Amino acid sequence: MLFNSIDFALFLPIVFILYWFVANKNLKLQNALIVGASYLFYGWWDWRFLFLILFSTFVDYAVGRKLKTETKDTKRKILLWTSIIANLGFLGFFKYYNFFLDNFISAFSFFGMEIKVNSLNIILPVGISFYTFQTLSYTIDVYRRKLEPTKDFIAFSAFVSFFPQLVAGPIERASNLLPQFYKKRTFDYSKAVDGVRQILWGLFKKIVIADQCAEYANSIFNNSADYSGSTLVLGAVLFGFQIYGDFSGYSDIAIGTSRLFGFDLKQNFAFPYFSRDIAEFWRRWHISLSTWFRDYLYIPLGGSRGGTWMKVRNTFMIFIVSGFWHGANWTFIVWGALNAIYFLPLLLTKNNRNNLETVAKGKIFPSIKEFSSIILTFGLTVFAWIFFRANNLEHAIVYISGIFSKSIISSPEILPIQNLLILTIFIITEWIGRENEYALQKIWAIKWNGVRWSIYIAIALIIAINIGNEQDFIYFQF
Amino acid sequence: MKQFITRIIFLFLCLLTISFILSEIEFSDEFIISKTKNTNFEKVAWSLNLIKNNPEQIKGAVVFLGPSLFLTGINDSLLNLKGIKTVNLAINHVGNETMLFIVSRIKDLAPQEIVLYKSSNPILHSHKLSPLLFKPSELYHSGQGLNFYLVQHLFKRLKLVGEYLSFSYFKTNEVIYQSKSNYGVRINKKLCNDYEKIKENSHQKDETMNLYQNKFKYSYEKESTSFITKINSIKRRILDCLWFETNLYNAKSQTMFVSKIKEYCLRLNIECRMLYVPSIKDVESNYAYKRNYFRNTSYDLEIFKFSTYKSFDKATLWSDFQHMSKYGASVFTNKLIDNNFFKKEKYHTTIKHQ
Repeated sequence: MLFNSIDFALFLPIVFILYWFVANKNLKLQNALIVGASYLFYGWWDWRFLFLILFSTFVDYAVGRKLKTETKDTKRKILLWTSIIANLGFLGFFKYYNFFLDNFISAFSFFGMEIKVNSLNIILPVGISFYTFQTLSYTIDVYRRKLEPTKDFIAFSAFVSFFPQLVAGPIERASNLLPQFYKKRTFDYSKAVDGVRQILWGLFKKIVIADQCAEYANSIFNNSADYSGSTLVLGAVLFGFQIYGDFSGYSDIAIGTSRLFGFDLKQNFAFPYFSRDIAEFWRRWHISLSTWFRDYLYIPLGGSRGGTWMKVRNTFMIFIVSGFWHGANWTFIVWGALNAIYFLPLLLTKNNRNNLETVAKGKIFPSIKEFSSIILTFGLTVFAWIFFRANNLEHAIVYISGIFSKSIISSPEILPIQNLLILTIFIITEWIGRENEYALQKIWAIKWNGVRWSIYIAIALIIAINIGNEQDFIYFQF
Repeated sequence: MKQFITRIIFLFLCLLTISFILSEIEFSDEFIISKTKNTNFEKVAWSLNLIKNNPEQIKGAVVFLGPSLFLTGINDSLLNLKGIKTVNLAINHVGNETMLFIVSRIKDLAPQEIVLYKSSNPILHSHKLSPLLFKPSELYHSGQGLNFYLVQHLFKRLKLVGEYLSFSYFKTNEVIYQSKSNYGVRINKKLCNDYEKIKENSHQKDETMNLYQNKFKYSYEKESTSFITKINSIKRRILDCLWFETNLYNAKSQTMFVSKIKEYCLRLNIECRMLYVPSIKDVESNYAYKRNYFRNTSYDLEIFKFSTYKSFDKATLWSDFQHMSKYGASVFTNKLIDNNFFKKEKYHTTIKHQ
């Protein structure tokens, strides 16, 4: 079920009413309703893959319970690896089987050996990368004794399958989300209003920004050979906004929906395009995944504590794994490696934690230095997005060589003025709201109700006008 | 909680009201032409151009209105050559709104007869062009039920309003429509090797298409005492009630659009009939229906159909599983003449052929 679909528009109020009016007296019933609703939400796409979620839930629940009583380190390790292998095994099979098979065949044929193995027609279960990482975080935290394993199977099932963030995150930590299923939840008006506001802004990002940019970005990327360098630059920039609007929009809807049910999810995007360097960008982009890799991969590998070689190795490893997490394609791996190359000089010169505060905090405009850093960082990010969006490496290289041609100084063949105008208004709104969790959050500070309501209605109207070109969320494919 | 729900409903109602008011902006024909020309729905632009610039072609003519099956199945050029004044104003995609739209435009041009498309299955959805051709209030007054399709229509119309305002302000699009001498049968593709396979698959796919033999009623064909079959039958009955008798789906609204056309025709003394155009499924008749209950026919109009379509069992007559080829259209059109679809005393005219 897509957040931007009619199905979800009907599903959400029904679940909301059942949750607060029918199941409100009983915490277990509320949790059971969330499980049921989540399975319906997921099964709407393909019910067969519900078994994967159920399997993951059973395995990690059982491993968690066993880890609680087991004292021997070897047995605890075996239990941990059982969970890791079971979860990553499914992920590996569904997501990477054909990729590895194709590359093995290519590698053998390079040495003159012909191997005939048929690749499988595998459908990638939606959200598998997200819920797999979420359940893994639970088992690892229990193994590390940072978290008490749960006895409540329904609460645990709800944690694994919680529908707002099931298919595209944010990847929640058990330490944050699971305890919320134990506590009685009462309806909080201001929280619910905040949730609706964030949903509204998320829908705006997805339907008005991402879907509209997608129309042009897809057309430019799919016919890149026909366009001038300047148009290709525009295509890459529009893709940058498409992916931001798409994914951060999804996160906003997920967080907002959770608030409607009394849950607090962690912020997943913190205005990443206003970052002054790549390190800051990665602290602000897909925060739940970046911190997951930091805590469960980068730090166990030694983080930035060792010598230069170790720092370089760990940086490349985390970025390449992050790229590979996005999809079984060399383009994602190159995208990851490119970001590692951007990041490494900052790490080695110990400048990676220079910009921890929000840019131009408390000011209206950034300084010239800040502005130029933002533009440079944005430019580097957009350049890397070309690999992310391209169909394959060859396409990316042709696209980039198309940019760096004489035609870069010509005027673009495509100039979506209306879109660029909306994009400008969007950037200004995001800039104004950059010190909050999401751009519209502090709109309640406007004292005059009429103005506030007019803004809400105007945004809703713009969303309604743009409904009709719905595109799937990009991150569903990961 | 009460305050929250009240405010959400208020926001939704405000949005709905503003959307409705904006959606009531009337689109000019130039805009409709600009939106449909060079698209799959170019026939709308063509038809509006014909109505505006050559209304005499409509006067006294048999006008065919329907979806792509009519567009590819009725050769009006051939009919005109044989002295039967006809115009094929069919538009791609199924949906009775387009027929109603065209009728509302030609009703005062004194056509002799209007021939509407008869689908074998009830039409459950709306036509894709509905938001472009009708204001929500117009659609509602034409018989559209208060359902999800109307809400969808409203928002789709709203999107078009944005485009229309920008179109009217900037006048960016070229609105001159280059008229084409004829516009109808165009598919030259013929099925050859795949024909048998497609024919076989078409039967397996859906047993409900071949309903013309039962006067478009699902009929009792297969005796079964099985409990499961009975349960399935009840389930189908309930679903059918939901689909056809309520406004949950759009079948009832689609029927109402035809009733509206009938109402126009009665008032202006224009004859109105329905015509069944076959698909590959129909070339083999008498195959067993699985359904075991009756349902009333949707339309209260005379339906013209052949008793058998066996003579259409040739690959060269088809371009795909539903549509006839250019040759097939000529055969079908000739067969209409041979079977006295056009009553001589009425339709044989002395018009100059286009």
